[in-house]
Amino acid sequence: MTGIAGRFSGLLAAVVLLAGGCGSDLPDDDARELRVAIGSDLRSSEPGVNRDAVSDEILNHVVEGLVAYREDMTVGLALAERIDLSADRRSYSFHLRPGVVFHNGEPVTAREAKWSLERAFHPGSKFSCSYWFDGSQGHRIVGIEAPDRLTLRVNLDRPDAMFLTKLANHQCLVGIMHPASVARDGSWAGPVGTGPFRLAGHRRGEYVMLERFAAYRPRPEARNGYAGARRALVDRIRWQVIPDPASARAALVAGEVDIVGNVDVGAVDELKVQRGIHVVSVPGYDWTALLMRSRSGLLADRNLRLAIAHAIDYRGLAKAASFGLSKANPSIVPLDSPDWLPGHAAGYVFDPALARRYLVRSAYRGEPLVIETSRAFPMLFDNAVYIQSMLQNVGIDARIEATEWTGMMSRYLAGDFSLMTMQFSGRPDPVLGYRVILGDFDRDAWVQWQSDAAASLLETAAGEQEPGERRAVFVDVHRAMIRDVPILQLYNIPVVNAYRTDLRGVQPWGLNKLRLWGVARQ
Amino acid sequence: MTGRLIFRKLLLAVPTILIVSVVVFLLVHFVPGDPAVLIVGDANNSELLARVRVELGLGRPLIEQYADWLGRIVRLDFGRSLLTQEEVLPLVLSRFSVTAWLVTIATSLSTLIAVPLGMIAAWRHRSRFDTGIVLLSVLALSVPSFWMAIMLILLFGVELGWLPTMGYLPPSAGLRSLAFILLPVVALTFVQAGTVLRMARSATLDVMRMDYVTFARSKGLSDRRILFRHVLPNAFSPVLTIVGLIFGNLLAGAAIIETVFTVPGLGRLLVESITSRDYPVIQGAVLFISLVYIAVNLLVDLLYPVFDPKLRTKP
Repeated sequence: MTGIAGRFSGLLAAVVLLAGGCGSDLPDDDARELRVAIGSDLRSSEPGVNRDAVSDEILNHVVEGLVAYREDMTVGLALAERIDLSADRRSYSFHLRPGVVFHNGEPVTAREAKWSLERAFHPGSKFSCSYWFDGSQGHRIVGIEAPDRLTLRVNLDRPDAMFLTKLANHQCLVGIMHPASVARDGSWAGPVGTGPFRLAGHRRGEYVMLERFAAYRPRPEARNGYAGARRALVDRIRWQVIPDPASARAALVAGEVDIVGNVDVGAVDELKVQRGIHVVSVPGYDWTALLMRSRSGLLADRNLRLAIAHAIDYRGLAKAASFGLSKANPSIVPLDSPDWLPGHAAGYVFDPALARRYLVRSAYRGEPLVIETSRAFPMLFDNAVYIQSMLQNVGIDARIEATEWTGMMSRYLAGDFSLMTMQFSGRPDPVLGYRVILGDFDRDAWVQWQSDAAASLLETAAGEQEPGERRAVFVDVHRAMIRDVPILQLYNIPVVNAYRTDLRGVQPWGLNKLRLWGVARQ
Repeated sequence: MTGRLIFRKLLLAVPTILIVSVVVFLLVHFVPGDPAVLIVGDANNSELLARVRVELGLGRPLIEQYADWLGRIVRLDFGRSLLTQEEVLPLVLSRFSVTAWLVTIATSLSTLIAVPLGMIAAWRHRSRFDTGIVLLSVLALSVPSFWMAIMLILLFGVELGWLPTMGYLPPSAGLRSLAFILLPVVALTFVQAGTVLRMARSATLDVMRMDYVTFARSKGLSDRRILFRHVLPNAFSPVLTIVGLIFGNLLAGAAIIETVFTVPGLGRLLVESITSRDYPVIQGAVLFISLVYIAVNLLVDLLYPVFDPKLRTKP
């Protein structure tokens, strides 16, 4: 037995020694490599097509647009050196930065920029947000021209202050790419962009590898959101797919990954006590809400919706569900946004007695109300549990039904629910935020709020260039929303990044997207 | 005899596969949600949603979709992933090779460890050793695999820093790949060993109560000869059945272990494709798994005569 044990220990020791040289599948010069944990794989390498949050995050390192969001969610410059707006505010001339080259070494000219925009916006395009530019929501692009080598002109059918905001969007990235991104048969070959990193490898289910693009020319100004200088300070970024969040945290503590973005708030305390780990949290733009199907059924009764609204302790809920990292926000405009004015603080007071009075006035007679939720995101489920307890406290028979994410999204898009805890990706501009919920009940099943007055106000804000004027309009829209009680905004989801202390330059920001240019190992 | 057995099993496999394909097809299509929902996400665009559904072919009648899929399967065309556009068959095969490598090692190890221990425990029935083995098997059966996996990660990966906590290298990478599969293999082996241990012990106990074992003892045969010559061949058949079942189950998807250790295996692929409603991948993977299951069962059937002398005799 001793002999067998001895031989087994010998084998284990050999494996451990081998493992010493390969804490992970990394080359020896891994000091120049950043290893980032991602929860799911790159879905598609085509920006804005078949996208999700992880794909957006990775591709924003590879592909750049003409413009990009700054930290404060205003629009900054990226590939454009300057923008001229015509007197009638319908024609935008983008003057491209000279000397910028694609990953294949070809210079960036207006020809490629025109090709990129036309490919994204042509009818039948698979680009997720083509409806932003085809007149479905606001303006329609009526012409894209390249009057000279470095000038791209985009003509709209009407003035629209949202055009640049949409063009800068990080989710529906309108990337400027070389036509070599597409194969001869028209199929997608891979992004030949201009970003500080280029796509160097992808092993599905395992990792995505980005390599520093040596010929990249950063903008002169400092890094600012997705705008400003994008200096690659490491040779490679390895986006390691780790589906289990606990495994991702263990890999971080073990030093096998350097950064975990989007850390669950419940794990913050656990990570903070670990040696060699920094945990940083900033207010986020993503938001959580309680959806109420107000178009028909029980919840069409405003008194019942008001009873629900006053039964919820928003401050307590935000504190408990975010582990103290977030505050209640009754508005769709994020707390940290420059568009948030004190007028957005107007919400519903937590008052169980008032809630009970509204309940008596309503048509509600003790019917069970199901709160749909999902465990895919811990906060959604936690919100549902807290809200269920608060509603039961005032006499509403609230029940919880937890389904997985795809099933819940399907019900959300079909409007097939009574109550639902939901979270939305942050929209940098309040117009885009309100358009997530506002619309026509008869036209779209996902619409949460139908209000001609609010829609008209939003149209005004969309056409208005002056920030002060727009912000005043947003306060009016918020007041209308509070009056109609179509949806209950809860709080903004904090952005939490955890990373090894030997990194510098990691800066979480409101959009909950890692930006790994400007990040290096000390 | 063997040829006929294989032919009969393969013949039986055809209706099994057909039933599996229909059930899986219907189940995945009746579950709420479809891949178009994920592709469109919270873009909140009904037109786009409808268009994506048409592009993915989801608007066609189910029977038409099924017939189309089955027609292609017959030509070994498993289709392409709706989300990633990858070909399903190479995808399933590549993921299966990872799982097969992991599970074969774990099953072999657990069998090699658990069968002798179970037999010795039965041979020393009601001794301290036997009690210890029973307790160990209960522990192995009671511990959830994900808990075991996380504990191994925390101990050997985080605290001691000896082994990688995640990732995978194929066997072609040589000895380095062992470091990556050691913890998943230990987690799988431990959990499987409990079942095999109990079965080996109880099967051995049953055989030891047989008259011919008493007769062998009375003849004065040595313990070793009785155990290996008379008990093991007769006790191994039920153990083999269990090992075959476990092996088949794990090949079908050691999903939890693969997820926790970030191993790109078939189980993880299946879970991911179910959550994203990637119909061709789900259908292809399940069909493949049922084929594997049939193959494993056939292998077990063919192995019975190797261990059980009674089954070698022709009627």
